[in-house]
Amino acid sequence: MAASLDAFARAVEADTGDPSLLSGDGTGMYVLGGRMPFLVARPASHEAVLSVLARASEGSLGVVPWGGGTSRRAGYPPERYDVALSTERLSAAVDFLCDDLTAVVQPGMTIESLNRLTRPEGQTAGLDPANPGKATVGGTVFAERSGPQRVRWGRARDRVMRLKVALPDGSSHTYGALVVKNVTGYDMNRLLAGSWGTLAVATELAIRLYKAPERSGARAAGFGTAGEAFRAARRLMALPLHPLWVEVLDAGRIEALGERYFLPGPWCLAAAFGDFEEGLAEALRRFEDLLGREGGRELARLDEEETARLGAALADQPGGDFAREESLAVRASGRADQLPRFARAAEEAAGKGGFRRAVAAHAGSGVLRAWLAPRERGVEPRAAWDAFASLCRAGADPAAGRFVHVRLDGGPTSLREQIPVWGEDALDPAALVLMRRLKREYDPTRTLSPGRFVGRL
Amino acid sequence: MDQATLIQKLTEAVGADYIHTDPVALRAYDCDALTIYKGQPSAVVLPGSTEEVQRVVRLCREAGVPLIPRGAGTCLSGGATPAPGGVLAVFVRMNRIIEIDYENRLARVQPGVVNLHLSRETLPRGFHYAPDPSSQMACTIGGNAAENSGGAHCLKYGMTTNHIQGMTVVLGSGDAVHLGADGDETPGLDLRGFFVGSEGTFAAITELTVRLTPNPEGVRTMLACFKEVGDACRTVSEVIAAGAVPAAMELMDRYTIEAVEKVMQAGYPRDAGAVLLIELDGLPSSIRPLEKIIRDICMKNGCATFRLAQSEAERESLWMGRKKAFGAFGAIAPAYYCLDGTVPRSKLAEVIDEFDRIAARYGLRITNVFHAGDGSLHPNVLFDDRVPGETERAVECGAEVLRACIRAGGVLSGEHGIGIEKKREMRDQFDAATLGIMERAREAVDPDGMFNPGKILPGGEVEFPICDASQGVARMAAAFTK
Repeated sequence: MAASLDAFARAVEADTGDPSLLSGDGTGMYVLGGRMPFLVARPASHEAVLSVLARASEGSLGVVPWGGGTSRRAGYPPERYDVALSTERLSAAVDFLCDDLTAVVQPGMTIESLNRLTRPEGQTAGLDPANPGKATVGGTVFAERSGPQRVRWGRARDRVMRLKVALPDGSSHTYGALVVKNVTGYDMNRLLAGSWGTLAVATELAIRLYKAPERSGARAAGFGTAGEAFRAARRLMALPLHPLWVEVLDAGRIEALGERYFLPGPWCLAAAFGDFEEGLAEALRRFEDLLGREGGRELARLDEEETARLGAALADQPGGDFAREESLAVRASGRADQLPRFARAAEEAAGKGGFRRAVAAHAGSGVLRAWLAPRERGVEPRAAWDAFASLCRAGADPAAGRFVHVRLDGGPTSLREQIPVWGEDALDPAALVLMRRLKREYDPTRTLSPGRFVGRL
Repeated sequence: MDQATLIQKLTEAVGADYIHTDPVALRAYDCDALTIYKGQPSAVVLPGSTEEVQRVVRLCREAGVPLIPRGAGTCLSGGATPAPGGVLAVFVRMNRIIEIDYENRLARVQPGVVNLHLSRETLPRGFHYAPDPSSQMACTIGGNAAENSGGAHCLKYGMTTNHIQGMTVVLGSGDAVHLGADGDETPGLDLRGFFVGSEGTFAAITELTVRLTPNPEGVRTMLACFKEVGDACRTVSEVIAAGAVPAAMELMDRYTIEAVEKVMQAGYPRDAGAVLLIELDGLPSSIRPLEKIIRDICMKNGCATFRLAQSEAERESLWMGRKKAFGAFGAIAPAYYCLDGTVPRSKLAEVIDEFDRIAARYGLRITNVFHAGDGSLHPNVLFDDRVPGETERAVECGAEVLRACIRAGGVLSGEHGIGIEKKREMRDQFDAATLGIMERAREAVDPDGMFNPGKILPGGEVEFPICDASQGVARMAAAFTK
């Protein structure tokens, strides 16, 4: 291995003329599933990324693309992990075409930097992953880290207009163009967005922007049960009010948000709206009416600043014990009327082994997230995962067109090695075969994040 | 398996009433709405279920004959035109709305459900299916998914891909596989997103779960008339730059106005160089400020008259002119060739000027009617297909127009797909490496090349010759004498 790494380093240096591109120092920052890379590559150009990939492919090395490292607790530990390919030196804005509502950026730009770029023009990318100060545009798109605002702006993959990528065979491709409507050839952008660094490495992304709402505000109310809160959310989604986000939280998540929010419980439905002043007032008024009709209590009214702050907090994961290495982050997705079942599943999972729980759902999008923190050390998390997955899936009935997907979004490496973390055990096997074939075409040497993604691609 | 055996087994698979092999009957299926390319299938089958589709696929696979899926045949790029000798699977029998789940804002449909029929069903309950291609009275939801169709209102609501949650597809192996999810997340690669818009070259779609959208409570439709098309284009660019995105923003130039007014009197001023049909929808209180912003931008750019539809009848009349514009071209030319390049919205004015120059070079006329807010163009090359050689000249002129779109930073197709029509120009859009990975991805999904050969990617063995009106008559005569 040492000889092969040495040959790799020499070849990359010869290709790029950049002796600082590879480093063996600081690799501890890039630990993934208990494994540490031998080298960190910090390319500063598309050509340098090509060199790293092509030379790694030649040397049968494993390369994991690395943005802000915010998804390090998700997925399988990679089978081979020789090189962490950091995008930190690829973090510039390439072009900001504000008249065309388009930002062209390098993958390592953080979401916060993208927001700083677009905000003065009153525009937004509508990307709201957790930890925007660290999460990168490339990581958000490739790990599909869509947050609560997906209900208004769509998923991260919907933002991608054009992608420039490097492949392990040393080839470069550009998919898409700076246009909002495009059916020219296969939709390779959608294939790559959400591919978790297993097919290609982006070196430039053109992101579609929207005008940020002139004004925003939110309302929240407490409900006695999850069922009531989720039903009110479904009623809201049947109205043409186009909310910015619609979240249902349990008492654990409310508590984890901290005292500054004073959200009513034990189950809270909170929704934000953005519009011109007059439209916002009407949306808020109608949401208040709906909350009243559905039995919501202790109405909380949030002004613009509070709405922005709560929106950011809801995008983030709860901290404290929930962020500890042995805690679990699970998620389930299905029809919106399945969300109460998913909430019960989280409760049952928490009961298996005594976990504290926090639950939050993107209630307009049919996605529930739950965090489970062990109350004491040494708790075996497998039973909790099994309980969550099986109770969620009891709502599935493929023959009747009902599908439920569960996945482990974060958890101790030992658990991630035991279970199908992406929920692929419930995936149609023929779909998995297609994914494997596509992986083979893009990355026949299995250079990129080998074994990390669904079905250990 | 020889041809006769294949036909016999296909007949057993779908029933004798649902297979056509007679050359005269096959003539009805030798092209889609792009009529200048034709290919005669060996048989047309009309399967009635996913299981029947699986049987048909397995038989075709055994016989080594390709399968071409087709909805209503409204595709404008030749996507549903059969490779000669292939088996065409027409999905119009599979037209059942299986389930409407209002609680979760979803509907499960078979692929042959006509786009507008779903909205007609759900409108009284406060929902609609948002993608609205101009052919929505005829086109099918399965066909829309295969093409990732657009429409006037996708400016605000997104393309077909944004409204499809899941699909059941039959692969070349004959396996039926479900892609996508009911909720927002599914494990692994986004195969649903990759299959939408693959133009029937990956698989046959046999069921779809689509999103329903709450009906807007207020609608304002307005017509802004300009002396010059460039002023209208600049207005569009400025409206978008202001972030004041309407539900729809359609541009028609003076030739289109002339044709529409000749045929149906939609109320467009005949002396205008261009009109913008703009529609806002949403809460009435949200629409009012948007209307003011847009009106101000129109006036700043020399809008001669700005008219608000005062009644539903007037709104329908304004839209009817737009929706029937293509049909109206018959009043000003014997034939037209509709293109659909897309450009960045700030480049509209310059590419329209370029189209005029190209048309002049070819001695032809180009009319423009398009989804301006998306930068999604529909230049129409007017020509006389009875004149020998003029069809070929129109096709060349069209190719030049598409290359102009690419030069302006745009693409070959915004919503019609590549099909047969633009596959040659794919080499102008993409380099060899990118085309190569698309080819390999296609082979990964359909390793035996079972589905819709000769489409999207340039090269390959299947050719579709240009067929003008005179050749069409000869082919028709040949079919009847067989």
